[in-house]
Amino acid sequence: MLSVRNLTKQFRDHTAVEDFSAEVAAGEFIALLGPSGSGKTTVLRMVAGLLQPTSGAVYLGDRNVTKTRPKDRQIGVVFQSYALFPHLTAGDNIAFSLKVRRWSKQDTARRVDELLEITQLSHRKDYYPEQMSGGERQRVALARALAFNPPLLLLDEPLSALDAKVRISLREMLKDVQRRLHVTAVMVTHDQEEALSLADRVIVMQSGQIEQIGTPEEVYHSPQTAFVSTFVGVATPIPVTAAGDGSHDVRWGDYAFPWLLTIAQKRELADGGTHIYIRPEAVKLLSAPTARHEPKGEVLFSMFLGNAVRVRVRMSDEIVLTADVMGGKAMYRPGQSVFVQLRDDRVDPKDDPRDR
Amino acid sequence: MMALRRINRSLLYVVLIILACLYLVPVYVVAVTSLKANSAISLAEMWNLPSSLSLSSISAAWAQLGPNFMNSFELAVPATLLSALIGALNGYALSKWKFKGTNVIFFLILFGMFIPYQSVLIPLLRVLDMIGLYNTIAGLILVHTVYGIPITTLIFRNFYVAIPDEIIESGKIDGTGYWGIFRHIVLPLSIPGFVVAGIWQFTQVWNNFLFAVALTNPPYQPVTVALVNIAGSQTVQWNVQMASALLVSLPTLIVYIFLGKYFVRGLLAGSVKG
Repeated sequence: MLSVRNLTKQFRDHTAVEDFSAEVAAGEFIALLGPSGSGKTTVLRMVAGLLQPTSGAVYLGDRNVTKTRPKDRQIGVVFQSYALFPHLTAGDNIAFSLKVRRWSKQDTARRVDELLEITQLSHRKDYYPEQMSGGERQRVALARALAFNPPLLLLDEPLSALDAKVRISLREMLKDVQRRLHVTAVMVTHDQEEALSLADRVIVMQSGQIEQIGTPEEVYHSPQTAFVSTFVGVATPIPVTAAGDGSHDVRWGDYAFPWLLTIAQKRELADGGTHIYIRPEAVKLLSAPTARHEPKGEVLFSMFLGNAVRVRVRMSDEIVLTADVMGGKAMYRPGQSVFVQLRDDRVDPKDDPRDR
Repeated sequence: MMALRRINRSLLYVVLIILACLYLVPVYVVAVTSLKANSAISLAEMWNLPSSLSLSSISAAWAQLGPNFMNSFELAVPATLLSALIGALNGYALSKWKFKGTNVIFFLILFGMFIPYQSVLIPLLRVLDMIGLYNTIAGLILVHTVYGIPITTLIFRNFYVAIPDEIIESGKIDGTGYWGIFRHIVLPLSIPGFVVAGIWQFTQVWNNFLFAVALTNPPYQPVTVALVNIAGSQTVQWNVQMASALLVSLPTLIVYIFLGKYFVRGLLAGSVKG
């Protein structure tokens, strides 16, 4: 449906996007995830036609649209700042692109009402943008972007200007609307939670380049690069060596435990050692070591998060692990000694399809 | 402390009121004199209120200035609208469709503001003569429209800078182009800009004397030139003179009174980021 081939964008001496290629299937929801300055918005603007790439091409189906003007690409865009027309009501904002496209009066009216209903805004039809809340404005922006039935919808940080509660409810609506209308969506975001919860596939970017393309599970559980493992979710790197018996086990000091490694990590492990990235939910805290010689650490502080207690544990001068103790009532006191057990929930040594 | 502050405040107001009165003295004299009969005017009674109201001077002034008033309207209204519209188009292109050399062109346009009228007077006269617009209202409209472009361009460019680019991009995505965006999105948002540019241009054109006196003869002269002609006659009828001055200043005053609040708001709109 959308095919982006070797896109590069240079601003004077600065390369914002370098050799970016990706294929998006019809009906797919893609998240472009990265920190600010990673080039994700630049990619989106080149796809929309608001920015000309220095080199590379954008295909919609079989059509090369690299030189096509935005209005002829049939793409809907939701901007971060809503970008509603302040002099038009919600209904007229949604109708704008239909009027420009010379839809008949009845068709326009029917489509506007339909979209207002989908976005639960029927009661706001005659309101002006300044009379609406942020969440309502962004819903109008969504409805406006979808008005002329574009097969592709682009979203530029659509939820980041909203407060937390509204963001979650709008996230659900967005997913629901996208699935219901079967529109292909590409969303730019710096919020990893948003990317993981909404997208079918996530493209992680850094410094204008793709770090990894994969499903949310792959990106979270099998990060391909150090950047991905620390940017998506919380992760602490620790150095490990081979446990020696050829199984899945790795060794961290005296402590040997099973861990699923990427091919690159396996190669490094064979060469002497590698780093693995530990997520908070992979850490279990014990008050005494077992026969497996769990390493000892010191509690720095603990935070109550509601559904879990987050504990920061200093293992050595370089390594401070983050542990989430689910449903934890036990508060950990600073200075308290604990022993950490690391478990990889993904590891099933007997039958792992990813183990090659 | 509080008492002292209150006294200071009062003192400040007293001083300000005195200064305001001082500033308004000429206006007072003009207004009072224009309401007196010609026989009631003498240097000794210059400051007195009129003993009996006489509107004869105002009707006399209107009888003399009436046709020139119409000339001025026929000049100021089109010249204001045209230069505001051109300024809006310039400002739109310069702020929302940046191209290589945008800033140079903007600078060159602004440069026009600093050309003294006197220095171009003779070539201007020659050009208007050549194109057959010398001594016509249309010729004056052309001159004022062109001379208004720098300031209206400045006003609209600064006004449009405050309109977020994403709104323009949104228009592009929704399927319209350069003119469609101007017509359907930018123009409806431009009303404060038009008020500012309109007040400014109307006042400038209405009050202009130099171009008017240089480029027109009777009966095509605007009201400013006619006003001076009244003063130039042998015996000066002070009441008629003052009444004329009052009449001539009325339109710009009315424009400002009715649109003044937009003027202040509009001037700030461009400079202060929302």
